[in-house]
Amino acid sequence: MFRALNRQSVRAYSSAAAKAHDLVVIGGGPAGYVAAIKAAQLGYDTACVEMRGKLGGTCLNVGCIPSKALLNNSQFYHQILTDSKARGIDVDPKAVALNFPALMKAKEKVVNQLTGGVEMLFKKNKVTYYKGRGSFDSETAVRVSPVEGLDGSVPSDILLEAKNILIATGSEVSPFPGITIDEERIVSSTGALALKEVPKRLAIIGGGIIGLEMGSVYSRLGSKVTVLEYQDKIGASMDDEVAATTQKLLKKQGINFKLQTKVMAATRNGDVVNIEMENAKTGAKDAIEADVLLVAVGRRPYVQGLNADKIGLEVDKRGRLVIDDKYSTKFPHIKVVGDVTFGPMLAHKAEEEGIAAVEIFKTGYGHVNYNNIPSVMYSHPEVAWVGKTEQELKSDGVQYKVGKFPFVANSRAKTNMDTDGFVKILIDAQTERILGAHIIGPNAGEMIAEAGLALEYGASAEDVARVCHAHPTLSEAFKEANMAAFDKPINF
Amino acid sequence: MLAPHTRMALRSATLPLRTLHHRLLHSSAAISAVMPYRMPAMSPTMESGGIVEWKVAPGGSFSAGDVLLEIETDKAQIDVEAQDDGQLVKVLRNNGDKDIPVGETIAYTAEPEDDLGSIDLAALTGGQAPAPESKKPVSESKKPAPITPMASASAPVASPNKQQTLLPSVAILLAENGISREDAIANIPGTGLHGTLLKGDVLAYLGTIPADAASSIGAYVDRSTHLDLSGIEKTVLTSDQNKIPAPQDTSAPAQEDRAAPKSTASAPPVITLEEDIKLSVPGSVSPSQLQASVSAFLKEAYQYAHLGDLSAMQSEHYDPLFEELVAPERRAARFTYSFELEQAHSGAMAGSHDDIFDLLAGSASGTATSGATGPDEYVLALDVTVSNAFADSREKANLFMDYVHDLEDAQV
Repeated sequence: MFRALNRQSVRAYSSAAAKAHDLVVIGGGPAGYVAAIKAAQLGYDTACVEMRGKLGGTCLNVGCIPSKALLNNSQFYHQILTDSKARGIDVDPKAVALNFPALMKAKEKVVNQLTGGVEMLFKKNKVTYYKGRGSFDSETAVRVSPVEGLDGSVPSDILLEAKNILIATGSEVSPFPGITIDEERIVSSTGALALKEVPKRLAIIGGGIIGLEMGSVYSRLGSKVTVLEYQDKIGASMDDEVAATTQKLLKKQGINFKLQTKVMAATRNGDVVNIEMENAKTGAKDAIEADVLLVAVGRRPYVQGLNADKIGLEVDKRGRLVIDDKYSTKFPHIKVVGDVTFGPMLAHKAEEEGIAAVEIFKTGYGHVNYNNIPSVMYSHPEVAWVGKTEQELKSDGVQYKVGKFPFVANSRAKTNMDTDGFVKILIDAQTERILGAHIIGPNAGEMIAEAGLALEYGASAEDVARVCHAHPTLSEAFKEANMAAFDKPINF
Repeated sequence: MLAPHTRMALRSATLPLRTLHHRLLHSSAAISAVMPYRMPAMSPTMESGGIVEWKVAPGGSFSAGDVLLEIETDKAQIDVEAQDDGQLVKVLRNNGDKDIPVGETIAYTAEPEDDLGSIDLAALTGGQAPAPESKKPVSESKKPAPITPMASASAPVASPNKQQTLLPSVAILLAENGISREDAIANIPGTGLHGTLLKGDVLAYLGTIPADAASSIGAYVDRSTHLDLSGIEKTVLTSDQNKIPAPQDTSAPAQEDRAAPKSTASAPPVITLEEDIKLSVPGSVSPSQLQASVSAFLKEAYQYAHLGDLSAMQSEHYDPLFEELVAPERRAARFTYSFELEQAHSGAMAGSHDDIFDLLAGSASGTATSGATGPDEYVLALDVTVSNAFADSREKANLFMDYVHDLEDAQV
């Protein structure tokens, strides 16, 4: 019986024969798939090698997209339970039930639709898609090897002769030394997206974006969440003031924070995880128990199996592939983009680089403005920022002015009864040029796009303030914050 | 008659002074091209000449073929004709000037439809070094023009877009200070995208803020538009970094002959399953044939165990596609195995092995020692090392075992 099934998965590739392509992209995540499509549009005979079996990389499969589905729907649930009465909707809390499997199913549906969509785009743009593990055979040849158990995997090694090669192999979850991830009780972000039930107690190592987003999800669904963070602030590269406000608001929602806390060990004992920690400053020891422990201490470049050592590619101390300002390795025809090289590990940054690298192949010129890459945390309220933080400007010795506007003074936020947070605009004290924008509040992730546009064009706060914004909208808060930065706000 | 030559000479002489040319273009939004008119070469050997008389007055129009001016060389006086229609905007070298080198700008011309009123005539003075270069109130940033592909547009550029849309703050400042749009674009260096004017540029020009404020903040912003690739401590990748993580490392079924399959690094003790399976095969099958076919069978069983659905198939929210996406890597090896195939001697068999098998194998076992046509007895000793990295490892290993046990059933 299984013989027949096994045969079925073998697709008809003309085996062993070497193929030639203008460009071979290794990795089908946001950097790789976008680059492959762009290259095909620019006229290159393009191939993309992906071993996951699904395109879209971490972002689409086990990252941004599934987490946003959970965030949105858990917020819905939480709001129905806690926020209906004041709005004139009487809901019997006993009648509100969480169907966790169905909540997961809704997320799965979205992921399936999106990953399938990328494969369609490959077909539409005539990108050749090899399902298999890509590795360097030489500077000009990529070997695609079969992957055990992967449906549609290449049946045997295929050698791809490539004029140009783009490495976009992405990143993987950073392990925490001494803690074994079993993806059941001790999970990475991947496991946290696929828990079988809502844990009563969820502990999270790492108060960065991933930790706080997953903490938000399960906190809304009823978990008692504890965030353990080594630094004395949460939110990674957030503006300090925004990070403090975020912590305050999340705390109000029931998330417990232990900052300056160094996790010493975590062991699973049956269905319980025991976590030992000590205060990073005082050395005081502490221990907690949790039903699930999420390890969210970041991600690291993924080059395993790539055989990059075979052609002598260089990495830095953190394992990032070394590039020049044209994304080139020491070979100009081999470029690297996305998480596996320098810069923030963000899907949208990777996409921009993918496009830029392909355009550099084509024309010698590509554009990515690294000063203008937004970050968004999809908690509630959302947090979004772009450009410089206040602490960066201070340490760079730039004279700046701050304009702030609270959502409590914004008419739309008021009517929505969703007034937590503010917009903070940082401008150069003399030229009034906008240097950074930091938003914590409803829909911050959408609003940050306006800041990006302003930053790209070197706008001053006055320029944004003089642009007509629709009333009543949340975006008026952004306008007013700009007014506050160079002059005075009207509505506050 | 000489006009074609003249025109060609002018064109080539224009190139080195392109920057100047562009700057003048920005004197007016209404003008599509103000061109420097240069001393023509009337012969290949001509190096300089004098102007006898301009035949068209500044501000006057001319048509193709009209005599623009009369010049004198050491050999003769020659009329110079216009090749295209146009207007004479400004004359730089007057009647009677002598020894003007070929290529020197002697006048500016414009297209016939251009509005001369909007041209900043003051800017069109000074021969080879026009006023805008020297009159700039704010020195341009010393920062070299961006040359890298990631370069942003923050650094001042030499040729701003004269058609630029003025930012609202800029338009208001200009209006408040009585500066025309044309003057502003011509005279104020822009530090914005592609040289557009920013509020800070105008404030600096007006002296409201220090002259270098705009360019220095522009340079500050510009610095962070690139990835910081300085100070990287490079190391050449080692083959260790290339190593595929343990579960995948042991995934190749070809490793079946390994005596001790590798376990997942730094993990708790792994589970090992051991099975002895007896095989009864016709005596016509050689040991090597059997070895090959068992090996192939196990390989397929291994693959099929991994191909199968992931755990929790019975769950009501089970979706195979999604499980494949979000569950731990489906392709990663859940277990590894090794096997040994030993021919069992009949004596040993009778003594140490289960009697039930003998029964199952039937009376044939009794003849095993006597006839070549009778079945031979083998023991397939199978070791399966279950990875502890995945929740469903055990399940898949069991699935594998079930397949292997089919071998036994097949004999019955």
